[in-house]
Amino acid sequence: MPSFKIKNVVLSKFVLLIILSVIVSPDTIAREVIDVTQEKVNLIDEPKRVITLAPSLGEIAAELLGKNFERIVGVSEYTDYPPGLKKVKSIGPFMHFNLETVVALKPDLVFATTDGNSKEQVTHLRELGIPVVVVKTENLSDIASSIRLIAKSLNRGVQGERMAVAFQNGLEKVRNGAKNKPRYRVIVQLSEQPLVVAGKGSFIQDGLEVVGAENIYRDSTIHYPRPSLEDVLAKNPDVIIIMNSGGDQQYSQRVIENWGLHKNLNAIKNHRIYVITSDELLRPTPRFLSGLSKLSRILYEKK
Amino acid sequence: MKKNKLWQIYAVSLLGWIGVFCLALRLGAVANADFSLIQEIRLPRALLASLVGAGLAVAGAALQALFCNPLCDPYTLGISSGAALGAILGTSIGLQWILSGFAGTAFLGALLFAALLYSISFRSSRTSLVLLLTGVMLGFVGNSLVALWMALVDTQGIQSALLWLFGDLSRARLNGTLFLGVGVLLLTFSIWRNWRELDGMLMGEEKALALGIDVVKIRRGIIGNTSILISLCVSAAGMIGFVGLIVPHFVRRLAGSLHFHLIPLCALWGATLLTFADCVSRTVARPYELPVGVITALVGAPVFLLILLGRRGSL
Repeated sequence: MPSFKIKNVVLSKFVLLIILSVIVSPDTIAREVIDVTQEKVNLIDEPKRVITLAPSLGEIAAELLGKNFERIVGVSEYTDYPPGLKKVKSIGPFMHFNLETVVALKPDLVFATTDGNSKEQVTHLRELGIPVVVVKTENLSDIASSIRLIAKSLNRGVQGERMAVAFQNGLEKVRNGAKNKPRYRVIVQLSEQPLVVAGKGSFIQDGLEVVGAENIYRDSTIHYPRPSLEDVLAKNPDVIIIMNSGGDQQYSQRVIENWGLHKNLNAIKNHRIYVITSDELLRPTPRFLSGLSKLSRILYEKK
Repeated sequence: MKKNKLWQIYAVSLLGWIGVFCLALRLGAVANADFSLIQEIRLPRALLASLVGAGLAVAGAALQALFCNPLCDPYTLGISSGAALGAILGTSIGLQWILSGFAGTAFLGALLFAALLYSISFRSSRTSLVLLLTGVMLGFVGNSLVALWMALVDTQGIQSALLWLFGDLSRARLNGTLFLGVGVLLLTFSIWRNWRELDGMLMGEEKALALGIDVVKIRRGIIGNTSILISLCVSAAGMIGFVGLIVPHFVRRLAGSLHFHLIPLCALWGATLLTFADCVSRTVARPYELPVGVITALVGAPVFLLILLGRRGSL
């Protein structure tokens, strides 16, 4: 009688579960979250020791936890927003975090991203029995879904939904505002020597698309290509944007001067060369919206 | 060398390794570690460092003798480039096998390069120089292909997938490390079995031939064994420089050039040096881990130079 046996097993598991849930405090009832790697992650009801393995993840988690944000016990290097996170224990750079520090913090929830964290390290944490929720933050369209997944894992579904919808609405608003505007041809420079620019699949490319500008390297094969200067001169962008999230004035000065040598560039003729010092356009979080509005102000506001 | 003194050297070497091993269990990124942390993180890691250090030093010693070239190290033969190529291609097509700490596709790439080298060793029956140059060429080709791939294709995660290749012991798992342990011991043993022939090779191939050594056969055997050894070490911990180059020289100064003693002592000192260097790399810049290859060089080079300059004429 196999069916009877199965029933018996199910029944005994049920009884066990009931007994367990009576024994343990209601605080620790297990929940199951399925992350983007299709992994079923078992979480306690209210995770109290959270570690975020990328700055954007720390930012979203802190926003969602609100006044409970001290539950974040470890963050990756350069997690500086909201400012309160600067004081949280650092677990090292997100490309290669310190395994021992993470394990020693005894987390009950770790957030990782497919965009930057090492798959090997995530696997290692899981092998050690640490619940890791992996989110995807590779494209602009991933932001809302990553907010929802982080919110669900933190048991903050309602706040997450609100945040995600607000973000999507904000994005739509910018997109609509960009209609009927001139379509400038833009280059976004991330580094000078070697020249690295934003290309296809990068966040900045998505942002330019939303505000209605055209990235002259939108067809690159890699996210951050290294074009030759000759090619830039031949493509002749209308606007040059320099990303300088460190805010180093001397660097900005030098880069602007160097571009100034090429007087035939449209951007130089029309004095359309700008420096962006915030990192909002580089982080897959709701703050991306304010980065976008800065970008569209640069592009369309009359001086 | 007197038998008495050799035993002393063995005893000191063994004690040194045990001491460093205990130190590695004691020190880490966090100050007061509980037992489970030591068991789960530090023990596999200290074991991995010891095994990889031993493997690299033995491979270095064997290759230096085989090619009669003091500049040979485990990476001279280009097998590590095969590992890098395997790792990057594996990541690109989404095949990131992580078999208890071993990078699956990296191991396959390394084995492929090793097989190439081995099959070439059948053709170049006359001199080892051809083989050595082939290895160096293989290395260049492999590295260039990796660089080309990174410039033209960028798949998510390639950067982080390749970071470990520059030496990373944090991937250690207990079961994978035990597997590596069996491999390193077996391969070290089968290299050590040829100690007489290795002694002969050190005098040059022609003299070795005159001594009645079947140079071609020995060359094939050593190439086969060392390349599997190197493949294992690289796919477990990436490329860690210096150990395989300097430990054999150091041990030759210490205990002479006879491979009967050289091989086991190299294993011990390689284990000691890498475990100690890893200890330093984990603790000096918390929570960062410094590249362990940098530490092996910074710790090893001065010690080696002191011995080189200080004990003139003992060899």
